Amino acid sequence: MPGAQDELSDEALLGLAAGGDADAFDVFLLRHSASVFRLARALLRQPDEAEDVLQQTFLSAWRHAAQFRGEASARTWLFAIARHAAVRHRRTRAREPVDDAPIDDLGLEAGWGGPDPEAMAVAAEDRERLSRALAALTDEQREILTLRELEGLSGEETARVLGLGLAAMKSRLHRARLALAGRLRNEVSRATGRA
Amino acid sequence: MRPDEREVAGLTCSAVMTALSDVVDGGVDAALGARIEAHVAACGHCARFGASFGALLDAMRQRLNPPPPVTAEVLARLRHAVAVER
Repeated sequence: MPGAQDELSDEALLGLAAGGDADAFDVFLLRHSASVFRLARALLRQPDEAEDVLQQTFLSAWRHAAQFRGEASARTWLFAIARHAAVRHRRTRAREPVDDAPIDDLGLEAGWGGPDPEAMAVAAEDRERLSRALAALTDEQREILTLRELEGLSGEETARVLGLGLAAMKSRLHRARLALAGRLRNEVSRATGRA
Repeated sequence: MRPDEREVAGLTCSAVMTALSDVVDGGVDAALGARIEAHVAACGHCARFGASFGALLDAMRQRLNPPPPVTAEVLARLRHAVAVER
């Protein structure tokens, strides 16, 4: 049976947690653990590393609940903590290749101007294909798509979590969307045996 | 650049493709929006690519949500770690 605190907003739950209310924090944790874990998995391929980040994120949120000022939404605040923890984990790993392809090249790979631009949308109807295409992207691309498309953060919130200006976030997002479209098109080509 | 790149309504196909995310997100001003609309009305390639791009994003939001729940074991370890901290 749902408890009375289940109806409270994230901000209200954090306010109670700041005063030491463990039950309120547990509601907050249950509400957001899947999203935080998905973001961690987007950045860290190893499940045990992602679980470390999940724990660090909620431990930090519990310790610092009183510092939440409501300048951003509680989810934005939580995702920023999770990203910070994931980035610390990533520091020990090899750097990813820099995404510096011209935007037209990304478009061409996505089918822009090609004979079948609908292929990406058709392929996207298949959940498994979508998941594979997303997994084939760089961590940076997967991260921004997870925040903006899957978690539904606004552009401003996404920029805040990533520590980017709005224009830089928009550019990175567009490139990531095109890269995803290109990967989906590759999925279709592979399935149909077309180059 | 695409071999069949065109300029319609003062915009090239490349410029339209570059602005596509802003269009999808509703982030273009009225003047640019009108020029993009005019370009797309006359350019079948851009119209088809833009529609497919938008459909891809819609499908992604629908197909990959909600996130899978964390397993009972992961959740138990997480709650234990927070309980120890209290």
